[in-house]
Amino acid sequence: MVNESNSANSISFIHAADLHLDSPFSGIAEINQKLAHKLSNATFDSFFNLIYLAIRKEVNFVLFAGDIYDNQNKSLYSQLQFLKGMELLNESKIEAYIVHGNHDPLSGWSAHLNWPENVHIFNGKEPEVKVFKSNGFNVHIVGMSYQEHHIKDNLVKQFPAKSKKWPLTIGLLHCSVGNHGEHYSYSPCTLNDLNQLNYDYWALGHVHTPSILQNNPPIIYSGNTQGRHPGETGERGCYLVKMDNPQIKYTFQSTSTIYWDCAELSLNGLNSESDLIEMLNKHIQTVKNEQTDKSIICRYKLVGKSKLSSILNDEEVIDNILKYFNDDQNLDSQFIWIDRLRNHTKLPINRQNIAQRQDLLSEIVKLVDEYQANDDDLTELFETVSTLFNSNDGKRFLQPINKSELRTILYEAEDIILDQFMENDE
Amino acid sequence: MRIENININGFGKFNSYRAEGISSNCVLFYGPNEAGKSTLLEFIRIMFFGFSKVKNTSPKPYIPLKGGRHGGSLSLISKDEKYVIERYDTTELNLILPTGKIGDKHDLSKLVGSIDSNTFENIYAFGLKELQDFNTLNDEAIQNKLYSAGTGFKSISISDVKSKLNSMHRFYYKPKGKKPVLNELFYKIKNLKAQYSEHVGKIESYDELQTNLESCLNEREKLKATREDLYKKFDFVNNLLYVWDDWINLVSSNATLDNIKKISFFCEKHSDEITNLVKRKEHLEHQVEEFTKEKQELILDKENLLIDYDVLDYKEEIYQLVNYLEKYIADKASSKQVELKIASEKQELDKLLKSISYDWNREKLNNTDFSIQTKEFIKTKQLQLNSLDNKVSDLNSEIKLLNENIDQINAKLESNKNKRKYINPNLITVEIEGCFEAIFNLRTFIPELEKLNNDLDNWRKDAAILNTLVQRKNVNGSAPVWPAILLLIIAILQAIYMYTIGLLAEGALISGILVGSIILYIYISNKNNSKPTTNKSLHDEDKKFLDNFESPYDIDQYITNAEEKKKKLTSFLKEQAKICGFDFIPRLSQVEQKAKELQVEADKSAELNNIQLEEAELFDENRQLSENLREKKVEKSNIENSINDIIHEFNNWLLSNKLNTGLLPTQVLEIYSIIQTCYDKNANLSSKEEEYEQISNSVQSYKNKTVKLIKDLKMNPNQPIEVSVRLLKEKLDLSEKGQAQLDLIVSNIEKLDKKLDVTYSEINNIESRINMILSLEKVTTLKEFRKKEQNWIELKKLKDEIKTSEHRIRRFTGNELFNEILEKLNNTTYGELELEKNELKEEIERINDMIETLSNTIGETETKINQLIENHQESEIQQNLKSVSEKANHISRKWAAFILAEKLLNNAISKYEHEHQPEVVTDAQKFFSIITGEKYNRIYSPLDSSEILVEDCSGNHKDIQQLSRGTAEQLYLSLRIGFILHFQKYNPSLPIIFDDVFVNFDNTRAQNAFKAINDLIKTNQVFYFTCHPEHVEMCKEKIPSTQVFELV
Repeated sequence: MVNESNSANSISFIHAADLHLDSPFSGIAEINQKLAHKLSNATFDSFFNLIYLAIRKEVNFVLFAGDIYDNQNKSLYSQLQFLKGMELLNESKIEAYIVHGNHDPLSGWSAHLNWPENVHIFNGKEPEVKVFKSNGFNVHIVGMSYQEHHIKDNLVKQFPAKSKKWPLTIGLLHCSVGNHGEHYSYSPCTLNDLNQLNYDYWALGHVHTPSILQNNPPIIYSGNTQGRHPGETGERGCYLVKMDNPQIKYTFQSTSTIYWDCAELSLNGLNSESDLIEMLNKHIQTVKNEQTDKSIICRYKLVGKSKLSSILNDEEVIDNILKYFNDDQNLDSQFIWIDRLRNHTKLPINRQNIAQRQDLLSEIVKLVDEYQANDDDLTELFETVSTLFNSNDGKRFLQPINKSELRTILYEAEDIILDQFMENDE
Repeated sequence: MRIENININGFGKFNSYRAEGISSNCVLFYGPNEAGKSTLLEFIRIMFFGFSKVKNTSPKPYIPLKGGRHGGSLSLISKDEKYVIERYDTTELNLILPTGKIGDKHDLSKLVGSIDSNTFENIYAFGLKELQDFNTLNDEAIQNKLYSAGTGFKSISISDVKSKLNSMHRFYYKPKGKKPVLNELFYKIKNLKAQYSEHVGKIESYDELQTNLESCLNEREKLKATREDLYKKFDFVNNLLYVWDDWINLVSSNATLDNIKKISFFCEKHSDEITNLVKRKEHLEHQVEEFTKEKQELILDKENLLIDYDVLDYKEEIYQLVNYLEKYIADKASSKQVELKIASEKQELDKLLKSISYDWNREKLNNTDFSIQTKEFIKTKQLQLNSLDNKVSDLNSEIKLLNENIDQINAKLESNKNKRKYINPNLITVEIEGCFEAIFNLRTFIPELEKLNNDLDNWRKDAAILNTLVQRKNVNGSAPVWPAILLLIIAILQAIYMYTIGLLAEGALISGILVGSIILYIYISNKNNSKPTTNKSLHDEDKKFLDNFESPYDIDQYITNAEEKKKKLTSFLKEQAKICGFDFIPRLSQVEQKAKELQVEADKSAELNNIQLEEAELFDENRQLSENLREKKVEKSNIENSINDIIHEFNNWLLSNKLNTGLLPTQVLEIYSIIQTCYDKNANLSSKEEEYEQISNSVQSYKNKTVKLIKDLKMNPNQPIEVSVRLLKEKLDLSEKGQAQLDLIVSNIEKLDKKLDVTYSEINNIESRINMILSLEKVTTLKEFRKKEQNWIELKKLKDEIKTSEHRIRRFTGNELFNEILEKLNNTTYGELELEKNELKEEIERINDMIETLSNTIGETETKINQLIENHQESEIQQNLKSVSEKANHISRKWAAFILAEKLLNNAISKYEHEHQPEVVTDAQKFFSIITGEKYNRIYSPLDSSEILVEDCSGNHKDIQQLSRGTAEQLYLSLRIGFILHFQKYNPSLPIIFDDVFVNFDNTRAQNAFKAINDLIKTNQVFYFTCHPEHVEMCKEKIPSTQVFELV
């Protein structure tokens, strides 16, 4: 398929991936209807930010490197919204080149929609070459979609090398380059595999954190357009790339509407609830000043040694603090929502001293140490918690606890006991 | 560790309290109630562990009631080394190490180990209250109490903690039930999943709906196409019906056309033209009639005109008279006024001339010189006289003022003269001053004289005594007298000088000093010149008296000197008195009186001087003023002479100008102005007379002209001139008007004739043209022409109708189908067409219904699809589901923490029981045996039970409930001691403090308890506080090393 462009000797495009339209936000425990509505629209808002960016910058085309949808049975709403975006691009005579990924393989259900003529979807059988024609030169875009959910083969091996007749070549693929702990390896490949093909630019998808694996030629993960859980903090968006043969410039553009702020806040030296609230206010204000155009969801881990530790063990106290901060937020405009305050503080006590006391408390501390030291002893604790986690509902609805987590909980149990004995005697 | 010294600076009731030299491990503090035993216990605790930071307590605990700094110090011995702990409320810990250095909290923690304030309070120090509390507890509670002691925390029990942990994990989750948090969350998750599934199911119907929608749309299109065809047919039939009338018209028109005679040619333009020509001709003929009538009227008017040609001949003259008539009238009126004016002015002029001089007339007036030079001469003289008069006036004022001043001076002199009458002229200032001086001297030296007299008398007495006493006295030589006299003179002179310069007091002082010096000199010199000898036989008083004098010569000399002095002084004073007018030396009071009198005279003398001075000044001034007066008078006289000269000169001038002499220039100037006025009046009068003559001549001339004309025209001559002129004018106007009218009528008649000619000519042309047209149309008369015209119009109309009908038909049928339509129309009827039309209409309506049904179906399907599109709930459901799941996971971890905490606690308790309890019990039962006098030998707790049992010497087992209160307290005490011993195996052995815990023990048990303490002191220093003297004795008996401190 051949397309015409008005640019001469240079082209510009947007490289985006991992839209995960309609993907819910995870990691949020307390939610109200308005917030749910806001969050459920976040991926769509960021998608349209991307579309309007492309229109404003008058790019020649947009590349989508997979995982447009969150599920292989793509929601109708998300498909229709994506169609709407494509129609907007079409009105501005901007082409769209799409490969599907592991979350939205071609085998999944799609509604019967009439895509406008600017939409070009790569098939899942073999790599396709689609040519974008501009006044000065052509751009060859080589891409391949996932036919199925799990693609373990290295699809790069099937891609053709750059031809001499191709002045500018872009590779478009949803894949795993090297080892990325946070994501499963789909279509695993190496940098060497990519470089061997001699392409001018690799537009990759799958890794949600924007990453530049190589500068020359650019091999880039654009990252997802909207962070959806506390693990996806930092700026999210796409890349605006300008190719002025042979120069290639790329800049990151933020598209997200909701920003995750996760931090550990030390309560050392704080003695009262008002101190805590003041500290939270200061931190939130700092974040707000940095992110002036986004709403912010905060999750804080309270650490350190403080007299507030025992007070903060009471969930009601935490809930009241959250309510204090969240109730005033206008969710219809830019807001800051504290989702969670995890109390990991400890009373200002010396655990070693307690261990040496030879009383009941020292026995507790010693017991904890014994459990921590011995994996077999953990079995006993797993049995204790199995009343919940092995119940029908527990198995269906809860994430199982692993050893590492159990060890952490054990320390929390110790703190609970010590807090009980010490909080009234301060 | 043991305490060696307790030093309390200020703490509760203690102030500067010391308990020193505590060497024993058993220390007993004895004192009555409120002696401070508990205070002492608290003090020890605070020294070890610091002042508790208890907030909001008022007042602060144990504030010094008797003063002193709040705190103190403890001296300790630990491992044979001495430590001093010093604490005050307001300062940090001061720990003095054995090395003498200052330690910190870290060093202190080495001393006390991990024991903190609570532990100390719970384990090492207890009183009766703890025993009494313990008495009400059950076994498990005792165990817990023990373990609370084991935790070192007394404010919360283990059972409370266990209970709380249990309730917390059950709050979060129970295997059954809906209320726990997790149970509720699971329920929510299930609901949300169900909602989500339902939603997803609906979305899958999207494709089916889309398919249905497409098929409906296709079917509707087909129906629309069919309907389109039917519409076309319907339109066709409808058009046939529509053109039916036209077709009928067409047919009938053609038929009529055939029946009408055909006219080959007719020019339609001719028709219009002839119509216009006929109209025009009629119009012109009408015009001719009017012109003719107008002409006749003009001729009649001409005949009626009246014109006087004679008047017309004299037109110019009449106009002239008319033009000058106004002037004639005006001249006639003004001549009278001028005449009157001339008469009055003549009268005025005569009057003015007479005012100048009786013989003055116009002739004289004309001969008088009124030149400018004359006027200037008069003004000059006037100015000169005015100036001189002003000077004279000023001089008169000055002379007057001088006279006044002189009079004032004379008055003053007279006044002074009167004043002098009352002043003694013989007052001599110098004499007065001399008297003042004398008075001063009198004031100064009269007292001295008196004193001298007194001294002299005394000395005389002394001399007499001396002479009788001293015969052996040798008076050697005499001192020179001249220094004394010199000093005296100096004193007098300086006094006078001081008085003159006004420093009387200072002068007196200096004089006194000098006189004193004189006396001293005399005394010393006499003393120096005599050799004092003593007589042993004299009395002491006498000896003293003699000692005052070196020799008898001394006093004689004193006397002599004094007498000389007195003499001089007296002489001096007499002179002074004489000056003042005294014949003798006065008393001081007399002197003062004199001084007053002299002062008055002095004042008068001063006043007299002033008067004299003033008089001198006035005389000088008077003389000066008189001189000025004389000068002024001379000047005035000179000026008056000048005035007279000027007047004389002016009179000569008057005479030469025939004016009355004696007139002043001012008067002459006044006359001059009158003369000027007369001159002007005279000139005015002359001009008026000329004017009068002119007017008269003019009036007369006019009259003559008018009379002549009237005569020529044979008019009435007796009328006034004005009337005659007006009549002439009227006649002339009439004639002129008549002439004008005549000219106009003639002109109009000529114009009318011309118009008539033109009109006739045009009428002829029109007739010619009409004839020509008729010949062209081959008719002879106009009537024939009209008939032909009518035929032609009718033919044309029919053709138009035919054309119109055809056009209409073609418009609906088109040219191609025109013939076909005609044929069709020809072969059908109107009714048949109507029928066909209705049938088609029905069919169309049926198809419309079908289309509408399909449209509704399409709308519903689209609505459903839109609902699916717009219904975004699945995302919200998914988000909610995610959030609830997150919360459930979070709560599950919290549940896990609590349930593990419960497990840990239980395990710890169990382990503690297994590992530690035996040692505690073993230690405890030893003490229990001692305390109970070996009645009970064993304490134990079954492992699977929380019971605490004791075994007596007979092997009987009893639980706590079966023991008496005292025995139970003893049991607990034993357990506590056992625990302490066990505890401090791993911790420093701090002093143990019992606060009167044996109070409920009987004597035997109490003794046994002390005996047990005797064992205890092997490992710990024990403090026992009591208010019972018998316990003191018991303790001392059982523990000989007991050190007793009495608290008062």
